[in-house]
Amino acid sequence: MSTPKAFLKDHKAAGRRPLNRAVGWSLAAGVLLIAQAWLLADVLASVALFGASLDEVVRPLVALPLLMLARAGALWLADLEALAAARRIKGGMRAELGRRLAGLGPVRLGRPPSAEFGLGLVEGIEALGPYYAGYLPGMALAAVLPLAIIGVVLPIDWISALVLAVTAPLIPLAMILIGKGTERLNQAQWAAMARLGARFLESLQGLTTLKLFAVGRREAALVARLSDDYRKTTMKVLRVAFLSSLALEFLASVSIAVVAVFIGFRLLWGEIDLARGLFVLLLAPEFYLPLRRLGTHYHARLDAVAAAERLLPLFEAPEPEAPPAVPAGARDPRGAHVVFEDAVVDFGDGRRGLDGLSLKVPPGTTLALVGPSGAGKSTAMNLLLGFLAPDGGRVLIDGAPAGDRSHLAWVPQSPYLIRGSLRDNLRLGAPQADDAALLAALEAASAAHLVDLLPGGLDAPLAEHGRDLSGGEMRRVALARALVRQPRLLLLDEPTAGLDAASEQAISAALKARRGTATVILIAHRPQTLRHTLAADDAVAVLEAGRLAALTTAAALDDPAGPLAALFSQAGAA
Amino acid sequence: MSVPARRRLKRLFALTRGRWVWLLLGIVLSLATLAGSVALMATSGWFITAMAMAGAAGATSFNYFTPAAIIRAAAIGRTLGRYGERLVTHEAVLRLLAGLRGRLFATIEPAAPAILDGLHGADAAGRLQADVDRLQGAYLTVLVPSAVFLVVLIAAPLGLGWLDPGLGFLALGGLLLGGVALPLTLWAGDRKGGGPAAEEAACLDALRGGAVDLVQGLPDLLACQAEGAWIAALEEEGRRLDAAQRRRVGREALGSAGGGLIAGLSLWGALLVGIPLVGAGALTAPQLTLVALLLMAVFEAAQAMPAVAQALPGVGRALARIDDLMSAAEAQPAPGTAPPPAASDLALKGVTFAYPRALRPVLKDLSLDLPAGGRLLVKGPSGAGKSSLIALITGLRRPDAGRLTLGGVDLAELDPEALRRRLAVAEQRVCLFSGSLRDNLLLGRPGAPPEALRRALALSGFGPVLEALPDGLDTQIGEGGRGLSGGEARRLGLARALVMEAPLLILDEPLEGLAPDQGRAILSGLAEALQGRTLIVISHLAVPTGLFDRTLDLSGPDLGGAVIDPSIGGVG
Repeated sequence: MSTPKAFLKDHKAAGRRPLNRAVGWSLAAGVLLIAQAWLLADVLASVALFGASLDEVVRPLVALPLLMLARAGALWLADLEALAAARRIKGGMRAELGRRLAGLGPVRLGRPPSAEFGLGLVEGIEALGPYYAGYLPGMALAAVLPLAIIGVVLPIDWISALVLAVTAPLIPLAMILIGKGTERLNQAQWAAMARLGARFLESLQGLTTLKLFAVGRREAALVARLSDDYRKTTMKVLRVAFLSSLALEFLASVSIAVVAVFIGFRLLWGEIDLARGLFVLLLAPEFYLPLRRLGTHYHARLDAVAAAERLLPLFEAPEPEAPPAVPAGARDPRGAHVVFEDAVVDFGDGRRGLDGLSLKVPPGTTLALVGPSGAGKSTAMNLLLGFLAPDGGRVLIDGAPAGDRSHLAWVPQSPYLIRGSLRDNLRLGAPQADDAALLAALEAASAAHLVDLLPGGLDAPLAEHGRDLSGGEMRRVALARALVRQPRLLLLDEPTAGLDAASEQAISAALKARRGTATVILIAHRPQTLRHTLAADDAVAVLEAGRLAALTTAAALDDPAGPLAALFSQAGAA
Repeated sequence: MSVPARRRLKRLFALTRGRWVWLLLGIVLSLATLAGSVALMATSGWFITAMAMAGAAGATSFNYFTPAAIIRAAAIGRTLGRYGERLVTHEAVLRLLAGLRGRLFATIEPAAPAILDGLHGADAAGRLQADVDRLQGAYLTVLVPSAVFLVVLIAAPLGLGWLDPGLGFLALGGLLLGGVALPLTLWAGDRKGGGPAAEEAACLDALRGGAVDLVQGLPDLLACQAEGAWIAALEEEGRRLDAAQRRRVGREALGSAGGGLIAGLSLWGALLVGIPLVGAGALTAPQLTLVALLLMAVFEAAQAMPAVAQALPGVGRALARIDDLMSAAEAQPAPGTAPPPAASDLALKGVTFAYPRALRPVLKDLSLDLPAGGRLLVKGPSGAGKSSLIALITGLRRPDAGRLTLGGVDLAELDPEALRRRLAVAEQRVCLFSGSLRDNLLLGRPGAPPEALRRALALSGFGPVLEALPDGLDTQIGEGGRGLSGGEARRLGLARALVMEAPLLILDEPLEGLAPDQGRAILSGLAEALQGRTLIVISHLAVPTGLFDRTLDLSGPDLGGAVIDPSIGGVG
């Protein structure tokens, strides 16, 4: 298990070159600044001590704006290079993340596929941007530039260099000490602050509930009061937290003042000359600047570590092996040949999804998987879909291990419609399909009326998750989407549950029409599904505890002594 | 000034009323801090030069007490000023926030949830909060730096002009160039909603949408073998985001590098103007050093202005959205004020209802009579309008046609909160709030007696869950507290409705997420304990029908609903 910090470090490699260039340009800007300060001090000293006229200082006066221009260019390039580094790193991460998500698949991902999870991935990667573009170059600069300034000041005025050298380490030290102290002292207050801060969002999100319980008006007063509590708690924390910037400011200000006063007296006593004195004074604030900026970048680091913590598990998950390429056997025109051979799936927590399932589904047949919940129906389906790999035994489609999805199509119980048009959704699994094929598939899925209903027909944008469609219509669109693929193996999960009568009939008819061109395997929880979608001689496999308990036909539904009668009387009508 | 702009400014003043003292104090302290900085550098420069000249002239005494004291005072003043400034500006922002949040919530509450429909899409609450945050943040990002710059823009040219008019004009020109012309050149194009920042936001939205589709639709995408194309499209979206970011950062970098360059060139100009003045005796050499260092420090105020110009359009858009929302809420017809009648007979006559922008109505010409004490089962597939029916009965939504009455009085005439105290709803998606279990249970009836709590806990099946908790009713949930499982939350939601002991009890999908036996046992127990109160149960799962005296079936094909809960396409 690697740490978030190691994760951040590992991914730095992709952006190393632009990062180095960014630091290089920043340093160049720093050197130009030192030169600029030298020329400025020189001009001012010449004027003060020797009453120099413009003509006498014309060379430094011509050089100054050129240096300034060069410095502005260097700073601009430094910012762009730093961003380029972040861009490369983020781009690489996005690509890797997508690959890993797809490789894991929905089952091994092992978490509810919430919208928050998806948003978290995007925002997590974005949160790394300021770390790579701001914090890292800032750190490098803070380590080098102050040293360079001391190096320049030391031969000129060792006393000032000493003042700077003594105060500089105090700054990060003070910040760390005070920061640590604040953290310890205020754990409870931080928690209270977070709670109160989140409360407003909760009130907005729960507004409907609050109104339902007739407390909307009371909440309005509460929101104002809680926001005020939030202010008091936050200020208590900030009063301490800002002490670190107070210390920083104090050290920087006082040491500038000390440098100025020391130089002043030695000038009066004639121990150094004015140009050198002014030069040191001009550099003193610049000496502290990179250190002060670190404070602002510090948050970027905290955010990045938190984001890395969230991203880490996905990047660490082992990438599943691709199924070994085995040449497919002869393809039967009637549909795929599906074989489960002693298939075992171990969930790793003591439960077994399948415990030696053996089942042959000949080409062109329609088979329903039934059984009590937990019997292994979904697990068997996940094996066929390649969302899981068997831990023992084999699952073969046309003689090749399941995992290649090119010849199958799937209609889930709650299909997910992507943002985009009806056409985009239908062509999801067959990008080359033309409109005629799409319309034919809609017709076959009894969903042709949608083209007339939706404004724009095939071009109609489906609102988020197909909000404009009923549950039955969504399922019919998913069926059409599956049919467009012209699959040899059609998989369906409880295709008619929770649908109105019209949708139920439409889907049943479409399935029966597939007969002879595809092998169909469906999961059924309810006897109605079997009655509506199967012909009397279609196969029904009864699963129990991960094994095949009985293999019968749909005709057994009417046999009061058969295996199906017992199953469905137990499960009830739900 | 256009009408909406004037209305928005008015709104801004109304929202910030009573907070101006703190806001001003923050600005004053910011100015004081800048003054400390300027004094520290300028006096130091003057002091050093004067001391050197005195030393070179062989003077043995020099009044160094005053400038040294000024330097020390400026150093300490700058330090304390910065601390005070940060405290006061944050205090001001948080005071602003409290006022903003309170006033916004009070205004939109009566008109919700209808007013939030389609205003911002899915995450209305999150985006509204982001707008509020941006508006309150505008104090620190826009107001304070602008005010400081304005003062500097007037004071610095006046002060330098007092030494020499040429220097004054030079400072004015430089400040205008760096603090006004440069920011406007960089960011003026964005005021009409364009520009890299808006582009970046649009790209980020597209990327987020694509990522949510990838995660939620992963099974569908994989089964369609579309994952490769989808990921490639996402990467392309990511590259577009990066390109937009590059344009924004490029301009930001130009702003800071250009600001520094203008500051430097102003200093250089001051030398060109000042050196001849020293030669002519109109300016002393220490004064020239002072001018140079003062200009450098003063330009900090101008260098903050590109960021202001950059933030301003976003703040304006946030203000516009909040103002539009509040104005729409204020334009809603005033809710009824009549107290609900004693009788609790509920009737719907020819009710039709459609969500805004939906293709079809969810409910069409629905009529229903439910006398007090009646027990109604509403069934139908998902999306058939069952939950919309609740929204209509509770007055959260108004029908597009037809009317709903309670005891013969139209719901629109009733005081909405008084109406809802007569109704208790156990929602399908239980929304719990941070706090203790007791806080959540007492939500609708803050002073409920202990017996009411006990009865509700026993009937809802939450009692056994509670007994397993060491802190009992004081268990904290939500932010920073314990999480509840789906089934536990559902039972808590039921208990919360039962605590109200209202004449009408509405249960939305009470069986979902519970073991079948458990759900049925709870329903049967409830029906027994109702004692003449009205019960409405909505369920797409089979419910023991013997408990009800009437059934409403919404599964007709015409009523095939318009809004589907964004259910998750998982594999189970």
